[in-house]
Amino acid sequence: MASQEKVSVYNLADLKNTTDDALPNYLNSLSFTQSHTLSDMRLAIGYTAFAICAATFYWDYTYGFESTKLYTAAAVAVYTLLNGILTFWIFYVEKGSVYIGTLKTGEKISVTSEISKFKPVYRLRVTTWASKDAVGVTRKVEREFKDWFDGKGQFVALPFQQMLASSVALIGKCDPQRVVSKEVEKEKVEDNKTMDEKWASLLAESTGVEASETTPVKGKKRSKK
Amino acid sequence: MLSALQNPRYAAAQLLNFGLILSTAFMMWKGLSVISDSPSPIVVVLSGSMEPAFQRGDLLFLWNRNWMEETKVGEIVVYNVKGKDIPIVHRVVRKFGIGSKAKLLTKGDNNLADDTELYARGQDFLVREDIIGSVVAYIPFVGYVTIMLSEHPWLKTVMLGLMGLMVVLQRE
Repeated sequence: MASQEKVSVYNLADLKNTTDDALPNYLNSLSFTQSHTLSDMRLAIGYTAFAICAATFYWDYTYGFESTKLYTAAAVAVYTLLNGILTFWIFYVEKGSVYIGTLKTGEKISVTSEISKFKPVYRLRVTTWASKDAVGVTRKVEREFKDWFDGKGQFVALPFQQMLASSVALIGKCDPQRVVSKEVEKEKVEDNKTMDEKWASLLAESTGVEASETTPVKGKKRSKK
Repeated sequence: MLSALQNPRYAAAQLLNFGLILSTAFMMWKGLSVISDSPSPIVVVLSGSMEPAFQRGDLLFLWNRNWMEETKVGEIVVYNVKGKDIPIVHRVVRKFGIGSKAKLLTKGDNNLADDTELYARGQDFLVREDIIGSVVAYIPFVGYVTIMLSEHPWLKTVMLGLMGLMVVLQRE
């Protein structure tokens, strides 16, 4: 599994690919059924183009160029067309799609991911449909990879799954255990701040002098000289 | 990386990436063939018989259509001798008659004698259809790689293997 593999934390493509691989695993482990239509279509177009090329190679090799010229011209045209369709499919239909799946109850989810070249931020577009005929609701989620990769480049599943479950309502509904509410997060942050303050006051107590008082004393000494 | 091979769809996609690189290269070559009407639109000079015009390793671009005028004396052409697979780059020095039946005689600029010796047994001249193209452009020296590859065939295997491995292992 990709999640057990270490990647270089400086390699954005690796970070993205590992995360892209983990996302379907997680959603499939909930009750989503994955739809492979998009990638199957891409494979079909690609392999058709490849088959045409293989056929061209065969007749060119066995019958020579002169006698098969017209077929070769046609094959080149069709191959170019198929390659164009494939490019169009990847850039305008798939658009970085990572997962499309449905629940038995009729809800549908579609996830696409992208990164910008030098920013370690995973950008998700999650569209959910409440039922087959419902209008889709799109949500953008942007999180840094460091949230679910440790310093050694190991993928840590839990925070990633919590991130998904708490930022997408539909996933949260399927996996309520992993939902981390925002209030809890806020409290944690507040706690941290108070801890800093406590630490500062502790330090001050142990030295006997408060940090804010020491600087003016030094200044006074200098001004006297 | 290797984990991608465990999922059949990933494996198929990786294989397709590799296949498409190969097939696109082949189809571009064939496209060039179709446009220039030549079975081999790019050739590498293998001998020094056309020096000082072409050196060993020069890359030549061929055009095999007579749109404006017929192939004429002074043109540098590439031809195949019947029964031999190696294309030869030489200059047309004599021409008798017109049209597709015209008799052509070729000679390498750096050779003392004309090509009658090189032609097949019993063949004294070339006709238009023996020619696979006239040289229209060239890039010096870059073709030397292919001379290296054909003189040391094991390099081919090594290069293909490395390329294949790179494509399968990389993903981007």
